[in-house]
Amino acid sequence: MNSSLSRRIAERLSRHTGSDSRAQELRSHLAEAETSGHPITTADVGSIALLAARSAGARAARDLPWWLAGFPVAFLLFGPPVLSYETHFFAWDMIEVPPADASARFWKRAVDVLLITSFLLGLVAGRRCIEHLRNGRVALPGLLLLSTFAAGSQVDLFVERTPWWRDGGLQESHINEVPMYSVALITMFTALPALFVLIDVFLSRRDGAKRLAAGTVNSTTIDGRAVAALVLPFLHLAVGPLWRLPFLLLVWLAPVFSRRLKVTATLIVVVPVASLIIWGLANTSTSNDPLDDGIAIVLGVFVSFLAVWLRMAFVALQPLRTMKVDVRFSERALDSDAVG
Amino acid sequence: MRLNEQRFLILASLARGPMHGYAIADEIRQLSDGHHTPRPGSLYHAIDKLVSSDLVIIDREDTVDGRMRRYYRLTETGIETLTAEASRRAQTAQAAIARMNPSTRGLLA
Repeated sequence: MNSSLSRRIAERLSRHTGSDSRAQELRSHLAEAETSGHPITTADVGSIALLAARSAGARAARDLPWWLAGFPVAFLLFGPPVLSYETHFFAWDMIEVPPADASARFWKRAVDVLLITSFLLGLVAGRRCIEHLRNGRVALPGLLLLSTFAAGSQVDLFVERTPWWRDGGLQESHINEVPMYSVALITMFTALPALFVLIDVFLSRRDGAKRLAAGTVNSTTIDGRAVAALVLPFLHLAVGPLWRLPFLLLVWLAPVFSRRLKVTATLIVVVPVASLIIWGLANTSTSNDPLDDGIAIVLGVFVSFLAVWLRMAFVALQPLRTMKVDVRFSERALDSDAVG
Repeated sequence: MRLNEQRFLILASLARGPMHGYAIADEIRQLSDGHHTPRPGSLYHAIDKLVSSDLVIIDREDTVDGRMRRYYRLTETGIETLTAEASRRAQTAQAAIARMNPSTRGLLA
């Protein structure tokens, strides 16, 4: 193997040796070796591969307890909705799909896959939540917990509108209606939290290089996302069942983006907009019920006032917001941990 | 802390002052008269171990020609450990040489 190829492989392997700075250090080492007339050999590549393997092993050993701790969190996040869905709605496995009905078989299998996926996502989300909690950040765990909790509160809304509920139980004639609701519900339980996790991973990776460059691997700020994530979802309790879902969507999404758009903008702009949308929805969906219209207007104003109040509370919390709680792991500590 | 050959050579290299990884490797080559060529993976693993044992710390980080260089230096404990280990090795070497003296060999026989 020529030196150039060895170097490319070694550089690729160096990315897995524990930290970004260690990878840079190794790349620098390899470049200097070549410049100084010491070609990169297969043995060099092997030694870096061993270092990467050691690092991976150390990382896995270090993370294992947190993965295990992620299980109960995953169960907390995804277990109850899925389990209650399974038992409360109908005994999913007891539904006998007609062998000739390929479509029903397909949908039943699709729902099974979604259920399994939801638990796997729950595990990843749980692991992620634990990591955030360890670092003193509550935004993502708060979002996930409250979003799944809130999504669960929508179940009855869906169920009560299904024909099998109205008819007093699932009947064979309803089998074709099951998949649509099943997929919709499980997607609601899993897709949004999964989206949060994905966005969080994306943001973390994007910021990772900056944090490493600043010498701060991880730092926690009591930021707008935490405030919004903890406070805003409670507002959904103030609105009627018909308007909860769109309201929740806004509430869920606003904190996710507030890191970029500033939480003040979220509170001042998004919440009143949300209340207007609620009002609009209420007006449309309950136009035959003047009392509900009145409630919608009151709620809209109520939410707007709450937004202003939250803005004031947020200003009051400004010193807290700017206070950085350092959980700085110096690069040294990280490196010494990484290769155990 | 018991030092193996590579860790001893790393400490001995750093006795001259703060060095970055490649400079340490180069210094080890010179110290061992070319008999010892540390591989990058094992070198940095050994450095990590020395750092975690508080014998070596990171002195500073520089960027030279667009490349990151991290300099390491000995701690007080590292200097003490190196001194003790060097002394122990010197005594062992002297004892070995003494045993190879013909008159000593004669006495042993």
